[in-house]
Amino acid sequence: MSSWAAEPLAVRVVSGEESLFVQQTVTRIDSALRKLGPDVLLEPAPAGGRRLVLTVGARGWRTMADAPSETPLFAIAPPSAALEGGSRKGGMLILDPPFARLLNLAQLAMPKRNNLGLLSSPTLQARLGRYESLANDRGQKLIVEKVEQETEVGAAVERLLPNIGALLAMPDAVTHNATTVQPLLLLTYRAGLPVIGYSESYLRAGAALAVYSTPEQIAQQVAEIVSAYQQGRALPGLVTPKYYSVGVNQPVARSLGLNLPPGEELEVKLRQMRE
Amino acid sequence: MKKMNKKTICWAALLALGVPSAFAAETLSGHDGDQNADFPVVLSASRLKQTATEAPSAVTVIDRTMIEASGARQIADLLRYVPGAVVGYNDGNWPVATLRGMSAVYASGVQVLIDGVSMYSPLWGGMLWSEIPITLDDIERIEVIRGPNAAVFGPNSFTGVINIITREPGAEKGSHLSANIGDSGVADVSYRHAGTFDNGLRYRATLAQRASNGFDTRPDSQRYVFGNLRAEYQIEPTQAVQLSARWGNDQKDLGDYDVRGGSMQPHTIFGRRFDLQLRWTQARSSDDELWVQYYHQQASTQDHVLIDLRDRFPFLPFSFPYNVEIDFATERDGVELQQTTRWNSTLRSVWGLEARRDAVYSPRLMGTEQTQSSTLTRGFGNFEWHFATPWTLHLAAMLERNSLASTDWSSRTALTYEPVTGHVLRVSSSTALRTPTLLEKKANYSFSAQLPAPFGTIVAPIYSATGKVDSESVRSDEIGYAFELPEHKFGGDMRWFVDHYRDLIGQSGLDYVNRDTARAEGGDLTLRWEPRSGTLLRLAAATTRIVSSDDLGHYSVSAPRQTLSLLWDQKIAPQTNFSANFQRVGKMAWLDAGENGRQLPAIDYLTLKLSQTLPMNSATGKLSLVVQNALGRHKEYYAGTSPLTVADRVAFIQYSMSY
Repeated sequence: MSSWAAEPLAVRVVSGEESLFVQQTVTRIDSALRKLGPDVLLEPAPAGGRRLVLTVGARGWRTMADAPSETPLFAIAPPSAALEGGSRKGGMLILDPPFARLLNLAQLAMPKRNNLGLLSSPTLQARLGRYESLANDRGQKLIVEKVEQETEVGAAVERLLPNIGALLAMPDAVTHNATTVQPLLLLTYRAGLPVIGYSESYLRAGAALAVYSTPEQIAQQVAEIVSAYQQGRALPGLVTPKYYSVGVNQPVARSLGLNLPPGEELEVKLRQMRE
Repeated sequence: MKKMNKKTICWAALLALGVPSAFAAETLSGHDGDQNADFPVVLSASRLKQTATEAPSAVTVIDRTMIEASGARQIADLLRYVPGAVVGYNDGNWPVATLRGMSAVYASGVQVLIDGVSMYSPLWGGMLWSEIPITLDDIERIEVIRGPNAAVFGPNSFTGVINIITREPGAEKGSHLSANIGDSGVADVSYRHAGTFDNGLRYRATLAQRASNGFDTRPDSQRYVFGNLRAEYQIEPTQAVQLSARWGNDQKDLGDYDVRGGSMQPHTIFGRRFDLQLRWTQARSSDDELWVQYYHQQASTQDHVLIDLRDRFPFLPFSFPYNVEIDFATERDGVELQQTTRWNSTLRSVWGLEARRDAVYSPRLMGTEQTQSSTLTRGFGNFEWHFATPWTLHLAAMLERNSLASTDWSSRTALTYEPVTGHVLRVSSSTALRTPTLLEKKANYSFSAQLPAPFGTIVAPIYSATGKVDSESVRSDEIGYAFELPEHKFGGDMRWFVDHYRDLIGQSGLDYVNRDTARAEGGDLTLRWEPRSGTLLRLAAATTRIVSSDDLGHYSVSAPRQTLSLLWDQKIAPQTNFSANFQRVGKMAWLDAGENGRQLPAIDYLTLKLSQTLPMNSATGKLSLVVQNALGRHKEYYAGTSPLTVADRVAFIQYSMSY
């Protein structure tokens, strides 16, 4: 409840029919926003007054991005095209974990494996320098293989295999999608190497470890952002997930000879590490 | 919002039922850039490797590194890595393998699977190792379970289980060409191609030939032409369908140069086979999987030799041409289901059902124009209960109804204890049955020739089974220890076992009967160490002692007292690799070696391989020199009816190219 009467905010949530994850996130955001009422109202809302559009997922963003409008737009998990700057006022929450979080997890779970592999697509290129210095800060070495198209992923993974102790996965449509995870997971598994992923889906697919935000955690952060905006603070330009969980795929980890504690234990330790 | 909720629930329900959802295809392409698209479960339960520290039984895993370092041309030779296993050569192109002795040429009692389907012969019960339509390159790994494991792996898992797992189409891409040329007429060639169609169908196809002239002391040349295809289609993230098809065409010489007038007079036999496997899998996670499969196998062998009966019966005043024909055709069809479920953090189960029909058509061996068949149905359940932190209890049981034997149970109980991470103690006890083969139950094998007056009909009966024979049984107890020290890249396992065999089947007169008992006791030790990057050392040693009634079979001398297997794989330059593979097998005799239990002397077998990788523009080449049996001539393990089988050194060049 606000201490002074700020104007109520009407929020509209837009998404397309996509993965189960997007569906669940929309449901959670919906219930989290309802708890903010009456300061925050969900569509349909009376005309006039402050408005905010939230898009969830790639399809939702595409629906709204091209529509000219004065209504501020906050995008959750937009496609990479959104990063190319928009004409609309607003901000975004991208689900990419901060790279340092993956490095920290690798250090925590497998401290002796210092050589970490990474596949780099054209969109990731610009950030490589920063990633490499983050790794060096932690006494780790980042070994990168460039990939231009998804058909090159298998060969790139094979080139990495002899030189790395684990493979880190950062979200990217070209290198990590439903098609490329097959050769990626099968080849790394054959070489006895774990993959550290960025989503629950990746964990289920076969990543030994993953750090990800659940729909509940995303909704919690979105509710905080919306509440702050309603109370007069600006929308953050670009944020990464604040709340996250660590998951361990025990059958895969044990099969690779890794003895990992439960995800909850790793999570507690991870939160204490500097990002 | 309410509409959205209903749709979410609907989607979740559909996913739970495993029904493909309407927009699955779109989410799969992932080209929207949605990083949260549902990924397929790639490392599902059936794709995970068995490890010595996790498994409730003694397991040996032969991986790609070991396959490459072996210098082998025949799949059976890879079994030299298994402690206690013996690979013998009945002739230059007829490998025979036993996991722990007590075997004849058609070593029955070993469950051999390719991608989870039983491949041993419905007629002989044993595995025809030189007629497997896959190349060594097609193999991802081989998992060997040493000891009875019928409760989980089904029929014929009497002395062990060999599961050959082929490469996944999803892990391969492009073409691979390989050829071996060398001594003894070695002329192998293979071409493999893996790819993906636009609709997402992945495939791996191989076409190959394996040919060699075998040993110079025997007429045993072989030319085996074969091909296989493995295709997989991901219907949606949790459902996939897989098809495997294999065919092979064999032409092989058989016999003994010294024999005239008998079935071992040198001649050529022809064989063909076709295998099919169709599997539907629903995998929700690495611990939650259901698969249903159908399989079909058919094989036929044509074995004709034209002899002159006068060579056999010198009293005949004239030549009498006679066609010795031993043809047979076999067929196997089955459906099988298996479900893996993780109930909670401490309990996991695997259960399954199988129904199978085996059939043999062989007027010669069965004495009838009718097809002889047998049916089998089995159900099994396996529970893994992690009841207290360092303890896990494994309980498995199987019920099998087989038309060739009485219905019976097999079970396996194991308790593992991991006091310190990476060190596991194991105690287990299991029972298993080996049901009689169609040959042992229904054989009616004889030859007859109608001679002109004053000679009458000559009849030579060989087998005439009364069908009274029932299953052999074994009870096995073992204690084992496995350890893994990942930081030092050092690991191993050891065990001590005592197996009690009863009702062992042997030939008494013309019939097959249950007679002998045997007690096998022994131990084995496997150690694997990578002292530094580029060096791999492996040792597998075993000792076995068998005490038996030896009534119908000389079991007590059928296993070598000691076996030793050593591997040294060494990178000697950035693109150059050397490997040495040594195996020493103590003296032993195969059960149907016609020399009545006379053991062959110990054999030392050394294979050396030197490889050089040749990077080219858009391809990778590899040139290798392999010398098999480098230590030279030795009398081979299988003596049969005493033809002179001498194995010599074989050197060949291997060239392969991936592009």
